[in-house]
Amino acid sequence: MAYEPLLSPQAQHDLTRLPDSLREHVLAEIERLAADPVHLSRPAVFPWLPNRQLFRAEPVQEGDDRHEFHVFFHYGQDEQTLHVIAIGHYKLG
Amino acid sequence: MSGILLVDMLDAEAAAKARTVEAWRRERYEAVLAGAGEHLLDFAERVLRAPDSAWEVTRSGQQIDLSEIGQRVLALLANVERMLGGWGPLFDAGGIPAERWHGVRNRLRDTIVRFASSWPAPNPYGPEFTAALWRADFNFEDGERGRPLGEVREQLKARDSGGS
Repeated sequence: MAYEPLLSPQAQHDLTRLPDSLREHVLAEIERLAADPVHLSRPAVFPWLPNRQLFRAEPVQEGDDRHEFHVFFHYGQDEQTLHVIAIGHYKLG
Repeated sequence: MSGILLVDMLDAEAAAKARTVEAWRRERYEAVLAGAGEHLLDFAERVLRAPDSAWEVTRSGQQIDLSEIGQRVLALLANVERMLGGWGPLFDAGGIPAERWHGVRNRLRDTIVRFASSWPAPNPYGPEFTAALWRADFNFEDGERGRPLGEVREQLKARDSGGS
């Protein structure tokens, strides 16, 4: 069952800090998550809580750099929405 | 004295007694809830000291699993923070001023942010993002809701193309 993703102000802020080339990738990945969050996510770990959800988006390789993204979210109580709280990004390379 | 007057007087007396009993019950009920609320606040105050205990363990030189300890302390703080929020009606019914339990909850929130941002467990996001993540989580808990992804995408496109 597909959920409707809602992006918190923090998640929107996180998106605006991403380079343009990565932003659409992350949005598309959140849409992929929303289509099947049960199978694509897992309980979070430190520095967040194990009773909250974490989704690791497909990384992006740009030259020598690999971009990693994690989407922190809650299920909505209506069981129809996904509340994206924040989007973590870091670069390895 | 007429029979009707006597009945009115008896009814009035019964009503007064019922009001007294009701007020007594309410008072006792409020006192019980106030006591329970005080216990919860005492407990929360003690939980606020958990990070200090965890830091002491790290200084003691004992071999410990930093990730495990960090996760457990964070879970304790966060669960008590949520518990206080969930018990708002109990504090209200016990006559405990909102500023008081909000104050304890805010201290828990600050402690969570500080602990999650500084504890030496693997955390690739860094302290700034960790603090922002937790603040966003608290805002969600307080009722803040986000915008649909489609709207956000359109807004970002408009911004990138020099629009609004």
